[in-house]
Amino acid sequence: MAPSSGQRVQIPIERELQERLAWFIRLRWLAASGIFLGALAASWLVGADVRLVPVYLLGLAVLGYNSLFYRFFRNAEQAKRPLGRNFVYLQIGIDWLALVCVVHFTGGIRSPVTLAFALHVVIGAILLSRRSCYLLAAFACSLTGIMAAFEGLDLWPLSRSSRLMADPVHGIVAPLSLWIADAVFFGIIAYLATSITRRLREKEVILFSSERELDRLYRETAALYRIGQVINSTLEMSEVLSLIAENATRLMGMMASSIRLLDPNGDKLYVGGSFGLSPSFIHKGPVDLDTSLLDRETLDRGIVQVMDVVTDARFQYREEARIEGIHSVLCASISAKNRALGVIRVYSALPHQFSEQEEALLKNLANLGALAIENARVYAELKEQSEQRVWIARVTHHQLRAPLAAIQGVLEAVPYAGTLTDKQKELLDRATRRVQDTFDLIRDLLDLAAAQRPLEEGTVQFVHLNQVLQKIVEITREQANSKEVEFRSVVAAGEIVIQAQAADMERIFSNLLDNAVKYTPRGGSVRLEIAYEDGTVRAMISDSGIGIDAADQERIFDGFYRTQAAKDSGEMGTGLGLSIVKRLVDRYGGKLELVSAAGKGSRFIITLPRRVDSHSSTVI
Amino acid sequence: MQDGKYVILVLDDDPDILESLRVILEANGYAVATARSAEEGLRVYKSAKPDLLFVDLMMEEIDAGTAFVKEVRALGNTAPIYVLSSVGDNLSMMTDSSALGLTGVLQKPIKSELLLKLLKSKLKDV
Repeated sequence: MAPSSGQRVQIPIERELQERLAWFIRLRWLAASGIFLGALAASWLVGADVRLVPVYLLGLAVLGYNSLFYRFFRNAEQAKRPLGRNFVYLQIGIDWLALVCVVHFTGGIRSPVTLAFALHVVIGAILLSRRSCYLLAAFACSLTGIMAAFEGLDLWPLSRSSRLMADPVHGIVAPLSLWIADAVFFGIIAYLATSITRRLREKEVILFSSERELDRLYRETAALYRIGQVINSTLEMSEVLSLIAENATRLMGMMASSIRLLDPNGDKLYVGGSFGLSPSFIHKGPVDLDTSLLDRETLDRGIVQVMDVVTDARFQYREEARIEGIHSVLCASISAKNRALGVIRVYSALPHQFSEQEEALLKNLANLGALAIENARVYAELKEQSEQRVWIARVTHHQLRAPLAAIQGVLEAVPYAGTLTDKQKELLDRATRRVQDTFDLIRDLLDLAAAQRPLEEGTVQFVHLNQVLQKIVEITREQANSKEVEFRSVVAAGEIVIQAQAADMERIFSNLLDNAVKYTPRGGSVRLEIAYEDGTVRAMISDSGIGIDAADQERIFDGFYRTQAAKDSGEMGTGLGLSIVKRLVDRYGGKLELVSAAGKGSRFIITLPRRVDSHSSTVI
Repeated sequence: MQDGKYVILVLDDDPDILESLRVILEANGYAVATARSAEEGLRVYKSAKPDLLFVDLMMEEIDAGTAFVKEVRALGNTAPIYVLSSVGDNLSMMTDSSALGLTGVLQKPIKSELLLKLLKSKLKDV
């Protein structure tokens, strides 16, 4: 959620006040030790006649009240009770009381300990505000001023022996001038410390808000990515739209969201997905675009916000919205390719001025919605096309094959109906052959259509290639023998198991072996080799036949293309066989290579994965 | 047997297929009875008492062929029954057909030479 304007951001440095309090208390242990050591060192090193007993007593007092502070702080911490600035003021006040005494016993206003007031001014700048820091500085001035006055007027006389420095001037003048120097010093310290901490705080505010901004962007991007993934993995439009509505609601910290779609005529909106709305509000029925000013404006302008739905005349269902608890609405149009598809809305229970960031986020979500709607539409179209193709294939199969079978039956019967002349026999043979060619063509066209369809999940199983190929190898052997072509089949020892549809494997190998025998002249040879290689099945069908010219090698996998040499060979063919093989190999994510040259024979090398990758594009 | 000839019953809804088979079979000395529906087939079966049957299971009227075969079996048929089938016909129906106790499958388009060879070998045993 974007930070609302006017709401004060609590930066980490302030949240850290608790930690700093602990630090302040720890410092005081050091200060207390400093009092003991300092007094001792001064009397020993400088030879100053410091009155050690009262100073030590003061040191003990500091230790004592710091123990109380420490206990108080720990208790508050355990109770998870935050301690405010007053606790800081209290500590500083008591510290300064002690300090006044220490200063007095170490030489009055001339004592170097006076400078210790400055420490608290700095601590104030760190822990408290700028104003507090100046107040502390002023208070320090007052305290030292009062001390100087008492000293100068001899109201709280210093013992001679406690004077650390030589005292050339007596009376009020010396303490006064020292006090002025101290006051200027405290002022400068306060100025420097607050200047530095103010800059630090400003930078921290900037840093912290960019951190929050980054965090917001990250959450938005993650949500948009997740929706994108769902769009790609599901074709269920209502599921995707509901997910988008849910994310719009959560990311923007709203109460609800809805996505409504335009009907095909473009004059009504119906709910495509929603989140957080009551069933009665959702099922108000389709909204007429003519009567919904807000939706019309949204479709025209792209984005529209309504601060108060109950008083805004553009909002159609004001009473229903009031009952639902809706106060403000942000609407964005969903469109693709300049065509309006619908409207996405987010509803706020409170009066809400939507920021530019929120508008941009809703537009992004609207774009994802458009993508989901387009995807679903394209899928529906493809499904219809695919169903039509299946229908055509079925019609082709039954309606085209049945009459052809009848024609062939009749042609077959003609010789039995009476003696034919040679010319009649020849004509009959021609007709019979053309009918056979047409049968082959229908078979190949159906095969080609089947090979182009992606594999459906659950239709592949582990098949034993050796068994699948047994019959084809026998047929090839017969064909080769009758043509006096040598045929050798070299299949690797053991079972060759591959995940596939047996019929597809039959089509691939029967097409290639049939071609090999067909286009190899008498006396030539055909060879089939199958072996496992690096987790794949590698098959090679080679022949010593007419070969394929380099220029033709690209085109022979296109449908209905036959090389001149193939036509010249007198063999019949539909020109679809290699096209079917190529598509089938692609279907399994395999590879088909051809090594050939005109008159030098051909070698087809097929590499098929043993397992079909269910995540690849080949399987739906 | 009818006048010393084996009787063959052909059940198919395509009249041209029926006529071609009749010409081929009669030219080779068989008596032929034909029918175009399951009901007609049953009537003809009872009157002609065929020695062998050819049945198209994939007629337009779905299940007509299967129903005919079941009826014939119920009548205590012992004559071999061959199914006429087209390539690409539903294979699950074919497995059903083997459960029906069929003798074999003949693929359409039917080659006359193969058909006659089959009849010669099969009808000698009858």
